Amino acid sequence: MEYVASKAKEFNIVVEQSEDEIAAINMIIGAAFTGVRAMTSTSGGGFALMVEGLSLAGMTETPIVVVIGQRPGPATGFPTRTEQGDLLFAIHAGHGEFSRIVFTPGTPEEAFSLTNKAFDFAEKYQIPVLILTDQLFNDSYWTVDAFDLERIAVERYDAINKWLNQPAYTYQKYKITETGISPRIYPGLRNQVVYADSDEHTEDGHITESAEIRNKMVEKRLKKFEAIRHESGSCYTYPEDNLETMLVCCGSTFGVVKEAIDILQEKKMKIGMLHISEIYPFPRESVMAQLGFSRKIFTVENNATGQLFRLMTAETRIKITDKILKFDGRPFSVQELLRRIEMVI
Amino acid sequence: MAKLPDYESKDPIAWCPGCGNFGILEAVKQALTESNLEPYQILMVSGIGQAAKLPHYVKCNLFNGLHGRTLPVATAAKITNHKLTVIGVSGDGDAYGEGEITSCMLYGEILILLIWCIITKFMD
Repeated sequence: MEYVASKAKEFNIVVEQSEDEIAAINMIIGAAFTGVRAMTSTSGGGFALMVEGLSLAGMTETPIVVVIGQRPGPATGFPTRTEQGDLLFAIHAGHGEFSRIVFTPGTPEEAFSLTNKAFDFAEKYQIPVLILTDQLFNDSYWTVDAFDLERIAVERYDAINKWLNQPAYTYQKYKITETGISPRIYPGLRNQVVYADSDEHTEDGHITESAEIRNKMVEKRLKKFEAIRHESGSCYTYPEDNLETMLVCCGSTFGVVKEAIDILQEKKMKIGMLHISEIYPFPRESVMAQLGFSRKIFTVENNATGQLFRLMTAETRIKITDKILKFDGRPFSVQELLRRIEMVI
Repeated sequence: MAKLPDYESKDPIAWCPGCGNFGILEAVKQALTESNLEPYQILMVSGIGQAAKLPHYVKCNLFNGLHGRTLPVATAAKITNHKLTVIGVSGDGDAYGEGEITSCMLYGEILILLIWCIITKFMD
């Protein structure tokens, strides 16, 4: 945050440290509603405070990006150590039902490109997008090639140009459309007003109790999820997919799993890895295609209950052989991971 | 300059007949008329409660958010577009009972916050 703050004037960014996480998420919703890209960042405990706001973003269809830096919980836990214990929390957080996306980058390149993608999807679908990192990832150093900035595009997906010339005061923020996505403008546009409401609302944005409108709005908000499913979710496999034994991981375990695979491959083991960085909507087809012929599948996770194991089982019905878990607040060393793999194979 | 009818909203008012909020609504509309502002130049931000419904009954931009969270949304909206006149609208429960009230004070943004309390007389 200090880095971004130091560049704020140069890049026209407002950086604020709010009084608490509740204010932070409500502020980014207010900012995004009024017309800019807005993001905030917190840890698992901080995200717990943001959860009601997440629901607000889903209901008002306001695009926001939230980075969750996971630490061992519950509650204060180990404030300065690492865990991947909030995966299912992030996927299911927020009362009520609404669409959201979750990313779990495993490399700095992924963190860079997925943050851009997060804003893109947030604004295209008018939903919250969550990026899960952890203390290990955030405190690590890498040497990398310079990121390819040519691949970064900024698209706002708004309807301002169209609405500059429409009949006065006819805009409807929640207009029902084929895709579930309504045309989006910001308050202040000449001769139009924008109504957003946390209550259930009409296409105009006014409060309603109507059963019929409720059904339409719920379907509208959830419809977006299926469209998102088609646009995201390719997984990384190394050295190739469908090997006899596959290790499945997400987020910061990328590095240690890849290193373990390299060592085991030298020993002529038929073992590979699958890393998922676009984890929700869960990339069912991709995962099933890339593990369909494997005989043994293990998840490698920094948590106690095997959250990736549970997610993958629920989403794909793939029979996962076992889970390799570590939850003492420390990352896997490659030696430890090799020992643990040997124990289960 | 907008005449009084320009602030009329189509939303039917859900307050009980005789409620003091009606008087406040008229006062707000009158103030807006005297301000020379067009509806699209105003953003009202509110939380939850009867007072917080007031923005629905005025034709202007509105964000009706969560209980007590009026100020963070209003502050951020004003920072994002300082040309908008941002008005926070809240009741005593929403602002004092549940409210995130320090957001605005920290940033020194010029906002207007209306908070009021309707005292309901309990019959014996």
